[in-house]
Amino acid sequence: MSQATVLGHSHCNAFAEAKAENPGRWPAIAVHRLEDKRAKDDAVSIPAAVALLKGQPPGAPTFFAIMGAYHNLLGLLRSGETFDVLMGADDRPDGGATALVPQRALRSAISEQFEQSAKMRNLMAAARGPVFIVSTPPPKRNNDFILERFMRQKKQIYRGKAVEQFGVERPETRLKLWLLEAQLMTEWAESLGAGFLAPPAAASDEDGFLGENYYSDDVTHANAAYGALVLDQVAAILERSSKQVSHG
Amino acid sequence: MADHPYKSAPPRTSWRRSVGGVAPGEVDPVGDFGLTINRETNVATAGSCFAQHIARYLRKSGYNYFVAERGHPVLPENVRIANNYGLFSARYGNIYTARQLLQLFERAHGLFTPVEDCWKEAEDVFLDPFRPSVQPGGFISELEMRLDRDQHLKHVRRMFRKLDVFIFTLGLTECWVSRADGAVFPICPGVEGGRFDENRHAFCNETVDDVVGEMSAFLMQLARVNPKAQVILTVSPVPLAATARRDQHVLTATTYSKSVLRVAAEMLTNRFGHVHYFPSYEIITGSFSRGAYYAPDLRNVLENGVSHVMGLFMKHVAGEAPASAPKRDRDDDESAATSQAANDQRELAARLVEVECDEAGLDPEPNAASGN
Repeated sequence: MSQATVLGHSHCNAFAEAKAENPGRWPAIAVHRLEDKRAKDDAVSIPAAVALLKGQPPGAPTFFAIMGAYHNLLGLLRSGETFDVLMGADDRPDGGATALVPQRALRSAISEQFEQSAKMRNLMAAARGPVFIVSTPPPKRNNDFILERFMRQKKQIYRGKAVEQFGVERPETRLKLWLLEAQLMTEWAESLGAGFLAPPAAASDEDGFLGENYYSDDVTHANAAYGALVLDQVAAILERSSKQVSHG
Repeated sequence: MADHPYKSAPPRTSWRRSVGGVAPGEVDPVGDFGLTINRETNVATAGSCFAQHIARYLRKSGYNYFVAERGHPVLPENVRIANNYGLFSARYGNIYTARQLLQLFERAHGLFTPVEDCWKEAEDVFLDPFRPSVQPGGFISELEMRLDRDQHLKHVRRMFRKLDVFIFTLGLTECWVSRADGAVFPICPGVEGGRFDENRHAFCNETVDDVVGEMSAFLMQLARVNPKAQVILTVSPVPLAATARRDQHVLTATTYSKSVLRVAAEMLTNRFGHVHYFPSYEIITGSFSRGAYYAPDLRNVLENGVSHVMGLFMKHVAGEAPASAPKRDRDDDESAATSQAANDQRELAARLVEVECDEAGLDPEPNAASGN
């Protein structure tokens, strides 16, 4: 069987925790955290990751849990007048918003990150088989939860203003920003010849927010149970990929 | 020799003393101007392409360039600029004709509702016929276009209400109108959107009477919502890109258009005490520069020309030498505070998220943490 590699930043922690909690459940899936400010000793550098991918067997799929968090920069904290963005032709304006941001203006803001993705392209070029971009988890609905987790952090003051002075953005706006970024990630993945691994449906509530059972103990991440659902998705793709290889 | 009126006239009245015998960069055709602005004056702009230069220069020179429609602060500043926020005082794009300005005011105040008011380019691309280029890629639905236009016109109303000085650059006399109700489009349907239909669209080349009448109607209505508003008129020195008159050369069509606008501006200045003419047209087109203020296409104006215009604007209108103007952006206080708050928000969000994520660290977003 081919080996699948999951490589990425902090969202990989959920996958690694899932593996640790379920020893032997996904033997053909390796999870690696890329080196960053808080992950050095237990993480791989970009050159090491490139070497690791080049050493994979031909046809081995690679899953990148990288990027896709820009919606958090735009929409975790309120930035002014309550705004809405229409998601499609059938979407109706949100009566709670006093300003509209044209969707294509917002998309151009989120898309900026893709123009600077040279490292990502280098990593993708090293992959030996199909490549997938892994979605970030859907946003959390619970503003009290988010505010409380923000308040625990030490860096919560900036230019004399605290998180609670900005306020946490409305959940529905947060969800729309995440959906827009997911759409753009899908289009970006397609443009690179990659697939996009959407979040597991079972992890979302009826409105599309991350189910509370899948919350990690911070603002943006999901937990090991969510990681397990994603690894099951990876395993299913790997199985299909293996069958195609054996039949080919 | 007997005395006569020319003998005691000031040097500026003499071609030899103020044009022919003066270095090109020293030519100063501004007469008695009668209006001063200071750094607290709310200056709004609208008009044709050349008005963009005035707006840019005012902003860069530390003046209170009033932008009523700044774009939501959730959008980083570079994205707002790319989406045409701040290009003028509201996101109306170029306003080439007096009729367009009058109808903008009327549409903003519910006095005119055009029949042809939405252009569908594709299933998910809709344009506002009265500013077809402002949203790159267009709006995703007719509803989004209408909601954004409502929001835009709200900002336009606020702009007209709050401005102290309105600088309007008259650009063209040629325009295209709807046969249904006379609604004027900034550009011929079919060029940047919409579909041209000779049964629905008609060419119009305005006369002096048209321009004076429309501008007078606009000025009267502006005075009703903002009695303190002062108005500076300029005429764009940018020639027509093309004329719709098949019987004319573009050069003669340009001369007609600019002549009408220049005469209209003079008549309006004479008629209304709060209207002032600033001769940017003469500064750029005057023979003293020997065409040096035009780009190789002989149409677009070069930076040295804009600099000459704005240097004299600062001298006569702002009462200071341009060199002393600080090279920094200055927004109206309210907007600057909003903008700063948005930057602070993104900075704090970046810090908070950074504690958890490093996705941004792999490919950093330039505005997220720059604090600019």
